[in-house]
Amino acid sequence: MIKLIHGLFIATLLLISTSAYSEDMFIVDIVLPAKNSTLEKLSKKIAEEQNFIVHTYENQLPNNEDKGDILIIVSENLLPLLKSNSYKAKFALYVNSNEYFKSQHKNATALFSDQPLKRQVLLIKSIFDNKKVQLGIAYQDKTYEKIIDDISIQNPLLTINSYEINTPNIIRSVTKIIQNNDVLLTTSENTIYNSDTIRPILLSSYRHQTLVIGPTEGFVKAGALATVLSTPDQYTSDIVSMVNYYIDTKKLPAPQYPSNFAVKINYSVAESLGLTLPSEEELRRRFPDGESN
Amino acid sequence: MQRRLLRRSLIICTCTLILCSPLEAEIWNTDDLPVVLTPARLKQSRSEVPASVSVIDRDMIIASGLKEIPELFRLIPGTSVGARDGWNYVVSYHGTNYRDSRRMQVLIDGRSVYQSGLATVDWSDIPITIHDIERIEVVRGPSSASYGANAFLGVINIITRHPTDVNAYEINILSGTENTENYRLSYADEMLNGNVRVTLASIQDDGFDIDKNGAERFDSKSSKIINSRYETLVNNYSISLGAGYKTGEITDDFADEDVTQPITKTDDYYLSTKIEKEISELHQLAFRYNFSAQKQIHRWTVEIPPFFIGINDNPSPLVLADANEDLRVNRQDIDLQDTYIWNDKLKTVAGVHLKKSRVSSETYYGKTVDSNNYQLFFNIEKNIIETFTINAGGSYEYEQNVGKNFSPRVSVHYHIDNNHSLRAIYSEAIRTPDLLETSANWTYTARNVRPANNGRTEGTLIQSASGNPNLKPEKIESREIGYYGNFNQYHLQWDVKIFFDQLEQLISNSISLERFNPVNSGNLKQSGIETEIDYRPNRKWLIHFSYAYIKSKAYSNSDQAFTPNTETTFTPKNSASALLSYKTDDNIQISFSQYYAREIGTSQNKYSRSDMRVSKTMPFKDSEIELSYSAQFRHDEDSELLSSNIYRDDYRQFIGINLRY
Repeated sequence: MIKLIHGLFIATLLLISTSAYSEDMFIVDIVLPAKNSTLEKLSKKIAEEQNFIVHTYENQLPNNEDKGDILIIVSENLLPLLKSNSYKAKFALYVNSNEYFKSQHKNATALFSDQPLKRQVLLIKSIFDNKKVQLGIAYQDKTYEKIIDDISIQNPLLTINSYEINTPNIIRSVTKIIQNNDVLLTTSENTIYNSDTIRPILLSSYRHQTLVIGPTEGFVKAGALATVLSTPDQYTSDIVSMVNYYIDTKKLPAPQYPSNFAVKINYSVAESLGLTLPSEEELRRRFPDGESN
Repeated sequence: MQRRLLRRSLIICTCTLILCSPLEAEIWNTDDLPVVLTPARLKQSRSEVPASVSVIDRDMIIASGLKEIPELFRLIPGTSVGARDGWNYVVSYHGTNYRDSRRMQVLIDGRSVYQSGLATVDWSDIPITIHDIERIEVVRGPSSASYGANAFLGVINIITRHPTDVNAYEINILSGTENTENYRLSYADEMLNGNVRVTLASIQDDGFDIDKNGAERFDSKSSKIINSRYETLVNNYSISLGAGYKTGEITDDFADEDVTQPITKTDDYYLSTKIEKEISELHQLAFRYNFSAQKQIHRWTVEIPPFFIGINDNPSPLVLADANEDLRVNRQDIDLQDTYIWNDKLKTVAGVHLKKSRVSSETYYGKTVDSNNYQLFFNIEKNIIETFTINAGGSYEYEQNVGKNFSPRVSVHYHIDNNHSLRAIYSEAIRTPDLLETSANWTYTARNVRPANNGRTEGTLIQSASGNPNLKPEKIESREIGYYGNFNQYHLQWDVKIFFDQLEQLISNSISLERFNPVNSGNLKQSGIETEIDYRPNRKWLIHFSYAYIKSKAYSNSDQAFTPNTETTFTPKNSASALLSYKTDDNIQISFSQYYAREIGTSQNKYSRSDMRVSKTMPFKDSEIELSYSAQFRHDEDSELLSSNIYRDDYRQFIGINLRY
């Protein structure tokens, strides 16, 4: 009898706790671009957070009756889903900043997949150990003009030649920059740097022994020299704190780049170019303070 | 509950960590990017290459202001350059015999331009212009192990500009001394999912001005060139195609018996194909097929005593007759090369090469002769311990008339660190005797003899020469120790080489009709030191310096004729070059170069020349206009290489206009 009462008591407590749980907890819908074990693990990792409940979907939003309070879409392929009005807050995780800003998004914010140009410049300074170097930058989006001007002013040791590319033949324009500079600093514009242009651009850089910095880890794997990048763990902790910030303050944080990052080097390319580079960690350490780890 | 939850999340967490790390990249690279610079494609860094290598890049070509491709090699340490006629350049690393460029292998985008018909590299018949060149790599030392026969003293590897690297339109005009008039138009575009570049050019100059007696020289050249390169990528295959055509005319001085001027019209064409397949990131297969052909029409009229051409019943003391040195040559090469990286300490390159040469000429051969050459080659690069790398390679060759030969090469590198290495190299190479040397059947057929007697209008020159079918290949054994340093922080590269070369069985005697005696009678010892410094502190400055000291000793172990100085007159004891260039912020480039060599040639000619080039580039909308002035000044009073190679002026100058859009 006592056992039964004890059992009932616990059961009631449990019931109360779960109901309280569901009332207080925000429901976060994560939409993944594909069925992919690694992506699912990413969503599970976010789900480990105990401030909210996570439901995972693939490629499309849930039915209206199942919709939660907060939406997280992953990758820029799913950017159109941000049009949905049924969420209080929408987060775009791992989207290209240029793509994100191409359209207006209401009640939305983003954590970008690309790295800011200034961070790549710091990497170049780290690689060249603050020696004089001549950079070439190709861009299409005019917002880069201001960013590049700022970089020039802040870095007197860098000679920066920037070129707005508006010709149909992107490859010819970029290879010209490769020929006339020590380093090609890539922007994150995938209209310039994509799977169609990567091969001629990297082959040209190799012919002319020009270093290519950025834009992504994929480029470095393919044969660019180096990039800064953020790991899935770093993305997870950023997106979780962005969501928590919203839950706590009911205010959307501004669209942002990942706060933490690491350095990635293609050492076989470095060796073939006759460059001796220190470890990725050492290069990362050379970044000035204030650029957090 | 809480505990279970914690445990569950711990499990997930661990799983995530375990499973996530190797796949990390996949999440973040939604577009599937190919690995472009695969380990199999990446070249050895210069500190690991099993040879001494020099590079002439586009910046050096422009700064030098030179208009002739062979003259660029004055910048390479230990390389002799000379002109026998205005159109007949001879380039040879370590000199030796100046008569023919036949001891160096010369490749354009991997295609050999060595003409087996007359065993020479005919620099004026190469269907590219100096503006088409991206860079030139010179392997200083015997390289049969990688490049096969004829890579005897070294290899010149000319790489033309990639279609995506050139401007859409380029126009180059150069005009100057000796009636130099060069025009070039180049066009590049995307085509059929690839990129193409086409060059049209016209080149002309009068050559040397006067001979040693002050008489006018006839050694002009004029040619029209079209060449094209196409690059594309289909699935995993990268395909390069090249094609070109050159038609040209050269003049020659009158010999005593010549009535009309001996003018040679030459047509050259080539086709080159290269297909590379990336089997994996560590395995690459490359296939090449190259074809080249030359048609030379050289016909003139002579005035000679009729008995010279075997006509004894013609009463005239002198008759007129038509002679020719017409020639048709072609060459085909097939090459298959496999590069495999076994692990980060072991890399192999192996392949086969088939070469078929054919030459027809009534005068030189009396018929058509051909030869086939089969080659197997390999190189193993093994990193023994961190600081030591060994390269072992060789080439096994077979040629009908010559037999079997094996040319090995072994090198050891000690890496002081990643950028500084010491090397010791032993290599052997051969030069197979060419068709003229082995198979010549050289005499002249005189036609249209006039005045004719008894209707006999045809005769054959009584003088004749036959090839020596028993010739053996020339051999070289080379030993070198060297240092290469890449002082990254200063953008300075420094190379030093000390060498001891032993050359045997040299075929040294002159190959002319009067004295045609190809025998393996020469031996030559060469030793010396050479160094090269390339310093480019930034994009504005370019400083290049080379120096070589070579000691030669020619001798013979054979009882057959041998004149020692034929193998030493093209090797200056000291030679040096310096190139200095500076670009200002307002697009003005000023460069100076200095070339210096001790006495060479039969008349012991010194060579000291200063060149200068000034150019100004002006941007104009989407295009650029560059105006340039270049000048060459000879300091000594000597002729060039031979006694009759004289320019009237010590000062030669050129004006150029270059448009790029």
